[in-house]
Amino acid sequence: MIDVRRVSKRFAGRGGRAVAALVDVDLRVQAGELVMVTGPSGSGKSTLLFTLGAMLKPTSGEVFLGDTSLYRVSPGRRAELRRTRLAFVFQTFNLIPYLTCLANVALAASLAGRARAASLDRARTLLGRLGLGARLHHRPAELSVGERQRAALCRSLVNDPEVLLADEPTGNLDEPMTDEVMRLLADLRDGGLTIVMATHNLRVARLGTRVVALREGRVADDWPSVLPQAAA
Amino acid sequence: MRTPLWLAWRELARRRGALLVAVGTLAALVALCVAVELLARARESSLAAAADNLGPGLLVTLPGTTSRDLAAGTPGPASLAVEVAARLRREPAGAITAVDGRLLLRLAVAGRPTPVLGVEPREVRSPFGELRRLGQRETALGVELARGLGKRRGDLLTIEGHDFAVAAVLPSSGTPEDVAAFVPLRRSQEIAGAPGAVNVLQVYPRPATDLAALAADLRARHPGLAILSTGRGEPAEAEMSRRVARHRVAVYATVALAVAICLLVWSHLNASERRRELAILVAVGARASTLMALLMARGALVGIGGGLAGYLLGMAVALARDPQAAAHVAWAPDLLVLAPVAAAMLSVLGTPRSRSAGLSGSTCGHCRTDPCAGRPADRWFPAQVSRACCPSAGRATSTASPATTTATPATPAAPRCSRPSRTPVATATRAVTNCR
Repeated sequence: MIDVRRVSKRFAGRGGRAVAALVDVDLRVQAGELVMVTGPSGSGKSTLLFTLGAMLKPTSGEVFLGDTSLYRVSPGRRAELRRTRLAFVFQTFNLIPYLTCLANVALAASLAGRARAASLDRARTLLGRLGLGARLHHRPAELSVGERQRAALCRSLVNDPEVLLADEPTGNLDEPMTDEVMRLLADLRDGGLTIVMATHNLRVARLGTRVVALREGRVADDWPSVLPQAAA
Repeated sequence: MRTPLWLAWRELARRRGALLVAVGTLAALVALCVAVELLARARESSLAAAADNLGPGLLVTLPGTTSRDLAAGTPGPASLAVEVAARLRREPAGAITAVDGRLLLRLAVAGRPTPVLGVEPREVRSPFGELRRLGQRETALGVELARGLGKRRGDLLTIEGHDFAVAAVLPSSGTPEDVAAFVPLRRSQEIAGAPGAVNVLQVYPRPATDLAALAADLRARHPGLAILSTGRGEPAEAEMSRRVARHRVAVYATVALAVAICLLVWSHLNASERRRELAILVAVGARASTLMALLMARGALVGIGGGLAGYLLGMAVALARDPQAAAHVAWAPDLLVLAPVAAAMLSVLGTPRSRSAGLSGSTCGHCRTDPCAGRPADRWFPAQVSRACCPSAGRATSTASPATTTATPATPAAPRCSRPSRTPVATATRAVTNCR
């Protein structure tokens, strides 16, 4: 499903000193996996996820989504992949502040080319399924943190992606909410969705089917989770 | 296009303060242009009326005829071709507003040789205003002639053996017409035995027309005719009008430049402020063209709003400044269309393309503050807001942490965001600042 081949990413630092966020990362993710990318802060988790999400071009190496090399296609094609096959959930939700919960979710569907009515229907259905049926017309600022995260999850799922990339989606949540989000993710994985999730929380990391540990931009460990079914 | 327009509309509706500042600034600048234009049009209109009252700008008469001949009432026995007046009315395009035909004769008035003008009363515009319609047996006398003959309105007068009643004594014009008698054109042609004949054409040019250039043009087109200037002050007026027009253009250009700069600065600031929102759109799959369309739609909406408000404001200013003159030009559909269209075009042209080009979706992920945090509604969830804005104090927030250059990557780094301020506005400002 996802094939990362010797990907490195360096950022220009101050004084001309390059900062390496990823160094020769190799990673293969199979369809239906729930891969937890873990590691200390600054280890490159988010950079890896952005690279997988067709949002951050690596300095070297290649990222394949199926047969498609993400950074060899045009920016327009990459945008299309982000709309249709990839989805991203951020730690800080990144909902558009001036749109309602419903409009935030429907917007992603509209950008993918769905008709307005169909987008709204789809968004309404998803939000209802995730328990936000009563919050459709609330703006993000009027939602609780957990509700915002669920709304962000709805937005990422509205176009039926093949891969969900989640950058510490539980980072802002308390334990009950974290468990709720993890249950949702486990359900989605059971439905065939491939999920790559970054977390620095080991308790959460153990809920995946596989754990990839990054350290100083390199894959330090890659092992199956000891409790793959714990989320269920 | 619907999605960007809808998004732009929703954003503007949400950020009414910023919208009001932008539209207000634009409206003030557009109003300046509209007020200048309306007042200038009002001035031109009154100048045109005044110029018409000064009489014709040019006289077209028979070859060899001089101004002195015209003053003496002796242009000669020949007549101008009947189609000349019609041709003059058609050319040069738009420079001539009216052409009046006259028959100038020297006849015996009360036994004294006197210039007699056969005029078409309805078409005549003279320094003393429009002549009232003369009956076939009526005449109007110049003030000097009436004084010399001792005639007043209602007296009888003999012209070349024909009896006329004095219908009016015209006020002084300071021209040879003060010593002339006016009779209906057809009657003068009957007296002269030349039906349909005219020997002087009075040409009324459009205000602000360069008379010298018009005369030269007419001479070139009609080499067989004498073109005489009446010297009614048109050249000076035309020069003044040209100068005023140049000043107007300079004012418009300056205002357009100011509008463009304001819009450019405003659009750039806005796009910077909204960089994270744009990055979110990129992350959910928006193309660069969609972002561009969004920014342009926003600019167009602001431009249309500012243009319309500016037109109304400018109209109000013009009416307040010069109510009488501006009243009949205040409703200007061309300006009503032009002001918003020009403002929208400037606004769209000022849209910062570079802000949307090359924007990465990762931009919105690099910030660890919730874009919704710090808004007034967040006062309902103070604890969550606090966590959302600074979720993990002691954790480095940049994805570009120096993995290879830091000896201990797990060492806590200073958090990039800080606790939310007490005021929502300050908090929102900080949240935005943190995202840059």
